Amino acid sequence: MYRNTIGYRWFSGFNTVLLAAIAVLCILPLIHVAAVSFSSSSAAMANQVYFWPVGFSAEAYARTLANPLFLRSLLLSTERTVAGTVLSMVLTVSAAFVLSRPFAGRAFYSWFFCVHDAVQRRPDPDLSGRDEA
Amino acid sequence: MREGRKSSVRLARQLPLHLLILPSIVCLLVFNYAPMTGLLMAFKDYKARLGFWDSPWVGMKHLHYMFTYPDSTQVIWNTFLIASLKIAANTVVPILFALLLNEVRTLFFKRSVQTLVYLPHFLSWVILGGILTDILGNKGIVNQLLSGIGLDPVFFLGDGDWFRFTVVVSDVWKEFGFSTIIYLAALTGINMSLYEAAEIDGATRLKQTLHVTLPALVPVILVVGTLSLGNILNAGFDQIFNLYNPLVYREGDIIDTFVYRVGLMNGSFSFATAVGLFKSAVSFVLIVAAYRLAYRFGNYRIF
Repeated sequence: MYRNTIGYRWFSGFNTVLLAAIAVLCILPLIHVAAVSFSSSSAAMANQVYFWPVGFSAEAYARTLANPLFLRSLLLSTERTVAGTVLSMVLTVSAAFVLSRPFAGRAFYSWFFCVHDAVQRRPDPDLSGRDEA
Repeated sequence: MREGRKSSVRLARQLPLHLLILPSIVCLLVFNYAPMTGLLMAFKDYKARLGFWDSPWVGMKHLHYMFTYPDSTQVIWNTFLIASLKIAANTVVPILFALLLNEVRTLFFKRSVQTLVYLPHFLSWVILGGILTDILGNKGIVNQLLSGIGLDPVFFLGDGDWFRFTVVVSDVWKEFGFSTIIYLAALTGINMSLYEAAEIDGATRLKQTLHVTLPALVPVILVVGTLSLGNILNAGFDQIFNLYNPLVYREGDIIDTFVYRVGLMNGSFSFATAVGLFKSAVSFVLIVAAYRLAYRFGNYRIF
């Protein structure tokens, strides 16, 4: 199905390079931050860290993990995620199940959900579920 | 008689359904519909010590003030501009990327690129704000790279026009991976025989893309684009709030950050509510219009 012309092979090569570059670009800031986090504080402050730790030290991690406030907020985040997901799934699935069956009042309930959604947030066409209300 | 028994039997059979949906309805009522009464605050002069019911009624004063406030026009224009740029970029870039990614034959490479590319979507703007402030700062890695090439360092987060550019580009960087997946899925749904027919007719790969792939994607693009219309006033509070600073208020302030700063931090809750009400009203009209358009032209059904 693909003509293996010389033009197409050039395009393929160029395409591969471009896609790899973009993919790397997406992950580069994270690598940089990871490298800074593992560097010694003097090197980090002096902006000398690029993509590999300078003066390896895990001291930042040790201090963060020993901080009770951080641990507390980590716990809170976990609680929120777990409880939030469970609760929202229970409510959503039950409502979805009911709305999927034809019965009296289905139209009313559908509009009930829909109007609140239209007034409060915007519709999510790309289904990514990000909350930007 | 017959009718009465039928309806009571029907009710008994449907009662479990009503009970099942009851928790969701109650949740909506309490958390979403009841707080709407707070909108009345937009028409009152809310003073915390007087409380909600005793604050004096001022009618349209806050809305009038909002329209005559000198910065309002600028803020609304910023919101509109940034949101439009974001919507446009967030539609074009994922499509192009999906088209390019579709051409890759090696499955491993395709999968790894996809994974790497939708990673930023899962980071919150609070975290990314910190990362971007570090990277794009004056002595940050990007500016060091620019200096290394020989260009002047750019004040990405401090210069007005560059700020808008940074906001849009970083949003695209964050979200394009996720949207690419949607478009890739749509691309794999295109009938293979269309490509073969085009090939027999002598179409090059590029022509195939233009005449087979893009027309097949048009319904998806139309629906996504139309539904984004309702989003035109949502320029991303999370992102701008975490990235902005007083230097860029003129170009970077959007309605939501404006309401936050002037309304909530200054304590003028009534004014904040009035502006929020205005924004919600406009968004509502746009969303209804968008849904109608998508219904007519894109076959998009809600229920």
